[in-house]
Amino acid sequence: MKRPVLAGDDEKFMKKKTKIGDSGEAAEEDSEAVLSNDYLLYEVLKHVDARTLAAAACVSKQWSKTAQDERLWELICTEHYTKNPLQLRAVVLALGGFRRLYSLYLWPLLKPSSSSSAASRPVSSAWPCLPPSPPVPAKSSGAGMKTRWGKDEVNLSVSLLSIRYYEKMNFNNRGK
Amino acid sequence: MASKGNLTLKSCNGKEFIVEEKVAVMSTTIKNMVDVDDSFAQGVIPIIGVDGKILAKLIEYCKEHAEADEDEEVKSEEYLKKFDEKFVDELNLNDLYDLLKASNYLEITKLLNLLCQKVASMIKGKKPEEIRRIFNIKNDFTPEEEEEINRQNPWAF
Repeated sequence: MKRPVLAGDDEKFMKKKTKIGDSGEAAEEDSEAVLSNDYLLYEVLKHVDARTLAAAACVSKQWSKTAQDERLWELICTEHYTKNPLQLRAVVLALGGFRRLYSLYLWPLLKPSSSSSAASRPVSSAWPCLPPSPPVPAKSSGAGMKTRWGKDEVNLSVSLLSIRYYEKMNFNNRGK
Repeated sequence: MASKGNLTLKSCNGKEFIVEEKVAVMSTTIKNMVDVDDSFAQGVIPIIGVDGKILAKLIEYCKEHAEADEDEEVKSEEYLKKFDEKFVDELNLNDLYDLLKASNYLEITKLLNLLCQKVASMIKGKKPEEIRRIFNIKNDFTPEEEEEINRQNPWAF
């Protein structure tokens, strides 16, 4: 059972709320209050894809800080990865983080244009193990947005990231 | 006065709502208050910073979900999904913000999640400039900083 007790003239209290038509100005105040809350912004960004997350990082300083949160990039990199996420996290964080993993290996892998336009200049730097960019069949239909990465891609990316890290270490030592 | 099993919630502009306890405790904040102190269950619970219109919306949402938790046959998953969709679709930007703030403060996790998904769907696939416009956010980067941050996020463009 529920009966709103004071149903009387409380509509008047609503006057402080702007009408929908004025939402432009009102949004200015409110949006500042709401999305300047780091926690709420973080909660929102948990639901976006890599491209949008990167765009969010370019919006403002506050958005940039929140959008570079490693936990968000971990969500993106491991979206289709179910096996032992804790172990993966330990390794990836030690090697520079999930954002780095995405930017160095997963993104080049997914880049829709790279297979066709860069055929002459294959993405071999990112994926040296693959044969020099064979034109991917059946991918020509869309913008490649549907491409997914599973645990194999993540595992391989992590391996490449550790090789890269290892090579850098060696290089530095030799330089001394 | 609320009868047994019911709670009275009072908005910041004085509007009172009598709701079943199972509906009210969808909010973790209210649940904690009631668990810790019985007197809340007898008297009026003030909901600070939430006006009557928004509180009514929150109660509408919680009522549907509390009833669905109780009886899945009457309110199926599919029914709830449709309800959720309609619920967020009808919100204007102001109400969306107010509900976000309120569901965060009252810790109504399911609703917070739903609203965050809605905001996320508003920015999905948008360029930084478009996001700034939608939410009226000031670009506080210097031109050099902006160039650098854009360079670091090539897949955004």
